[in-house]
Amino acid sequence: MIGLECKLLVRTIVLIGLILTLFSSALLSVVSVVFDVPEGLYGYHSAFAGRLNLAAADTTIGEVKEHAEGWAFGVRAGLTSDVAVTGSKRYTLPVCETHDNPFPNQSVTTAFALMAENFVLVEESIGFRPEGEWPTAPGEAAITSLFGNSVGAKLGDTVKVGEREFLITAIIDSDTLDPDRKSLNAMPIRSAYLCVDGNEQLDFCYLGYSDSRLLRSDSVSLKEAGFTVFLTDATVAIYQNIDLVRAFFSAIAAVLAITALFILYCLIAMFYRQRRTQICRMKLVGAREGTIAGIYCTVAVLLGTVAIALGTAGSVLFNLFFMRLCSYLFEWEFASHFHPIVPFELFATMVVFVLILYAIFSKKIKNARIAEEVKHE
Amino acid sequence: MISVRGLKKEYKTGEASLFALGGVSLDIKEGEFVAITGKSGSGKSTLLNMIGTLDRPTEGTVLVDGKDLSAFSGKQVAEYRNKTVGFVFQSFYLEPSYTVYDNVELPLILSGSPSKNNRERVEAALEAVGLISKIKEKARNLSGGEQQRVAIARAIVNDPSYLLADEPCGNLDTANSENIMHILSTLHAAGKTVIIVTHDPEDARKAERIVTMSDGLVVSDVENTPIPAQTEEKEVV
Repeated sequence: MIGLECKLLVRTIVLIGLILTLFSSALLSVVSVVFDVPEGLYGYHSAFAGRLNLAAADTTIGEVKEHAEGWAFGVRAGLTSDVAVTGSKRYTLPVCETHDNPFPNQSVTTAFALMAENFVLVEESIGFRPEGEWPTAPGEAAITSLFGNSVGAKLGDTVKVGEREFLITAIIDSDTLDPDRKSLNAMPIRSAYLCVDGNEQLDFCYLGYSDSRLLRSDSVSLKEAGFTVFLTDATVAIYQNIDLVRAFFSAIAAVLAITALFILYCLIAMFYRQRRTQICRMKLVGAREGTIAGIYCTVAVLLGTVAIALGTAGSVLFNLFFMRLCSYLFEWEFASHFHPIVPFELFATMVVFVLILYAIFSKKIKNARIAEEVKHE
Repeated sequence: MISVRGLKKEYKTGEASLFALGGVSLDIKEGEFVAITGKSGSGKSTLLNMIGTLDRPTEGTVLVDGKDLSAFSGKQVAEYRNKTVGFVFQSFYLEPSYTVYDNVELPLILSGSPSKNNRERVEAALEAVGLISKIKEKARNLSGGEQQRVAIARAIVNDPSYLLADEPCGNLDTANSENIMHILSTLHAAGKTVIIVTHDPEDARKAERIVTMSDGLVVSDVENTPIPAQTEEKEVV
């Protein structure tokens, strides 16, 4: 019976995909606002950086590997996932990539991008081999060897960022990179990752030389302990307007949610009209409302699985559009160019979708009048 | 036994109201073959719908085997439609995209019958209506007479006590009508309580009791010596 329904309902896939697209985008934003997660549509583009930062904060290298594998899996599956979650903490890292490429002949890449592109944390043998111990507590930091050599920083040194001090517990040996992959990222890495133990306002810092052309006069700069710390304009812009950003995306989320609900209801109503006779036939031979709704919901889940793929693709395009728009209007910057949708959030979207479908559909099925349907046929 | 007491059905259209049933009382014993007849709009189909829980009365009660249908929960109503009564309609009411087998099996699936037993029961029902050879056909590819026979097979596959047929021959030619009435008579002879609604006096005369309705009321209720339906098996399409 379900197989038959599947055949009959294939044409609804596109519509369901559209709904899931809207729902997933809306849900992501609503969840981020309701639970005060600092990532919304703007934050989770730096998922891998978040993971790295998390490693510095409160996870072990083993957990980092798991996260990295999860991330790699997400990429291979065509999805991207922000799995930088440990316990109840989520870390969001604004992206630090400059508009002004100081090395026109080379790609400007930050260490986390380098790592992200090479999956270096998946296999230790081909990845970064840290000297010292990976940071395991707030207040500890890892830097790259290139950066360390450039400034003479070594294990045990202290880096001061603003009022916070960080102990360098690990130096990541850039030379242990796979040569082939290393060649893709030939420029010297002048960056370090500092743990700010979940401070939402400053999770990530980009460290560079004071004489670097990356520096801009309007950057936030601090000269402490021989280092210059600056945030890119984009990062500063986002954090200075964090409430505005949240309000902006919350409004979009609300519109998306209402639109999605409207479309969902229309779809159910349309579907019910198409299927009323069939529903009445089933009721006639003893099917209960829940049974009928269950059959259609099962079909919806099966189709929804397909639709999630479409919805994900739609979300990616949708958010790419926003990323471009924001970059253009506000000079905000995003390093990764895909929209990570966490499996949990996809699942939650599916559950919400099916529950709404079940509730509305059951009610409609209950009200289906067999006698009238028979009369009309 | 079906016991109908003071059954009323009122339809309201704005200020005006129309009584499809104006207080019908009727007893139908187990094993009877009853034809409810009358002109169009006399309330005969409405009465059958009430007995089959397809519609709810405005007033009055329908007791089936001592149980008040209006007190049934949703689950009990579903079970009643599935196991106690079988329906046959003028428009067949089959799922056209399903095969004959799928259509007949549906009540069994819904009753939770073990699927390994279903084939045997479906085949038995189709044997009873002479359609075993069409078991793999899609319902939409069958003729009207064949579709009605599938509908009867679906109605009896769960071995219900009561068979409710609303104008079962309304869409059929004479030969197919004879065949359907013959099947219904056979089922009656096998112990089923058969209630048919018909406006055709010829069909009604095949029942052993004829209830005539007019304007929502029973105006006559008489015993009848049934005229045997055509017994020879005809190849009708």
